[in-house]
Amino acid sequence: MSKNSKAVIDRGLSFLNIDSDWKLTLDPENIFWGLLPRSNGDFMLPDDLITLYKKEREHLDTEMKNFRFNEPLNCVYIDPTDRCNANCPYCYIPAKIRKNGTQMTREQLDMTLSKVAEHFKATKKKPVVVFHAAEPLLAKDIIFEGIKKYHDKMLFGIQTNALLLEKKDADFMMKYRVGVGISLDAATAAVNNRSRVSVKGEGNFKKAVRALDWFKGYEGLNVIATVTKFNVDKLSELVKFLHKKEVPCMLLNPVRLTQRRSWSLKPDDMVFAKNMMKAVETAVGLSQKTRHQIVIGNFANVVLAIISPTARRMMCDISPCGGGRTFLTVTADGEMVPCGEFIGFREFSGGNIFRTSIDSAMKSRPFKLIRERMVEKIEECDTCDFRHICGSPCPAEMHARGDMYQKAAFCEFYKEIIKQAFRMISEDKVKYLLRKDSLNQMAMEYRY
Amino acid sequence: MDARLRHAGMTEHLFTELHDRKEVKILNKAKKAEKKTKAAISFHMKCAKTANGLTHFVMYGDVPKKKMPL
Ligand code: SF4
Ligand code: SF4
Repeated sequence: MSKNSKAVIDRGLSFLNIDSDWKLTLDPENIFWGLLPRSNGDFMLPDDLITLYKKEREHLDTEMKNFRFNEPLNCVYIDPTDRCNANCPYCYIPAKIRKNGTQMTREQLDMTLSKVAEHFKATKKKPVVVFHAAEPLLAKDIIFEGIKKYHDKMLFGIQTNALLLEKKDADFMMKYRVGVGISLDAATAAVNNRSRVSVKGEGNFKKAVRALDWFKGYEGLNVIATVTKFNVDKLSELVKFLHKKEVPCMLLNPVRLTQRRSWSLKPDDMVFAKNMMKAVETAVGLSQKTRHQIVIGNFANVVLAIISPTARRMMCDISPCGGGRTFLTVTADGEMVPCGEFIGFREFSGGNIFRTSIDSAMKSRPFKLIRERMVEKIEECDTCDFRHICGSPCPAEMHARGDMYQKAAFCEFYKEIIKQAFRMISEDKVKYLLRKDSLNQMAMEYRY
Repeated sequence: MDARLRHAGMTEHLFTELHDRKEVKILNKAKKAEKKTKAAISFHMKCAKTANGLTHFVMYGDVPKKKMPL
């Protein structure tokens, strides 16, 4: 080993095997990485790669530090209603709240949006407002009024089970360039409707698929699937189904175990990882062979965490997570919580938006508590090479399971898919894993 | 990196063109040689348009105003 490479290893470059062809060297602190052909011998770190590392180290350290601690609030989730017309077995909102919950009045929603506008009035970038759980379209009249009134001050998104969506609503959303997330767990009614159960009992499959046809070709469309024991071995079929519908982006999110009733639905980590990769390979194959690209957003986020850490969109896999930091959630009764996952834990409320400000919530003790939950303070994560790619989600879920300072419930899943992401980078597949338009907006900072 | 790409391109071409056993043998040899000559990979990208990447996936709220080819 050269003197040069010894010094680098002391600073913290780790080595691990990715597959039979490649090994990885990684500085876990700032995600400097290099993929090394294994045929070069075990610890052969090319000298010019070490030189590159030394040159970029400080800048990467600063970039990571800023992304973890100085990124401003840029998104507000608003739950205009606590009620829902579905009864998904893994919902993070307690059933009692969903059944009898409150709903914002027109005035309360307007007050909330005006406080968002006020909070961001000095910032250059428009904030993002997402209407989210329970089912926002139960309050669609007041939501659409809000979008009409504030669309020049903020960018909007709506997450919906599509049960109440009508053609004219879809047209309205496309006209105002609203990002839309449709919940759909599987490519068949039989599987989907086991987990996406409507209160009436039949599930949302038919209505969600009808909605996909209305949004066909719309760049703002996402499909969000929650992965459970029910659908874990059918992810690839879902990719094919959604690709046919020309959906540009889908998420295969692990079920959050925040409510006890969801615990029994957790898929096995390795089974999930294997099926996730099958789904990713299917998406890549389809994107290579056809005119339509389909991207699996949460896997793409892992790829971004490696090749462009600050370009990540989803704030669960960075530590501290985005809850109470880059976004917050306003519940139907006005309480501000760090993230929707905390809706059942009112001790984490940072105050009520009807009486106080976003700024005071951001400064509140409960929000600080979430921002203080970091991989450095969690056993095993503190020494894990992937700590700033995985981020050890989720504080709400682990709080519900007894202690926020535990490693992720899906730890083994993350470890495996991160390794697979490196493998796919070694195979030069990045261009199929990220949306073309997002790649076009990125610039190469350095390349070995 | 470029060498790696060139190699990958070449083997792909061989796969589509060659069929008989002898040639597959040659191909396997070429693949082995390719493994030996693979170069290390490392790169880092930055968002050109925004500082924090809010314009990446069209997740929520960042739908491009103009229609973009998918
Ligand atoms: S990790 Fe959990 S609390 Fe944090 S942003 Fe993700 S879902 Fe919310
Ligand atoms: S949860 Fe697991 S993979 Fe994630 S940082 Fe912790 S130890 Fe690493």
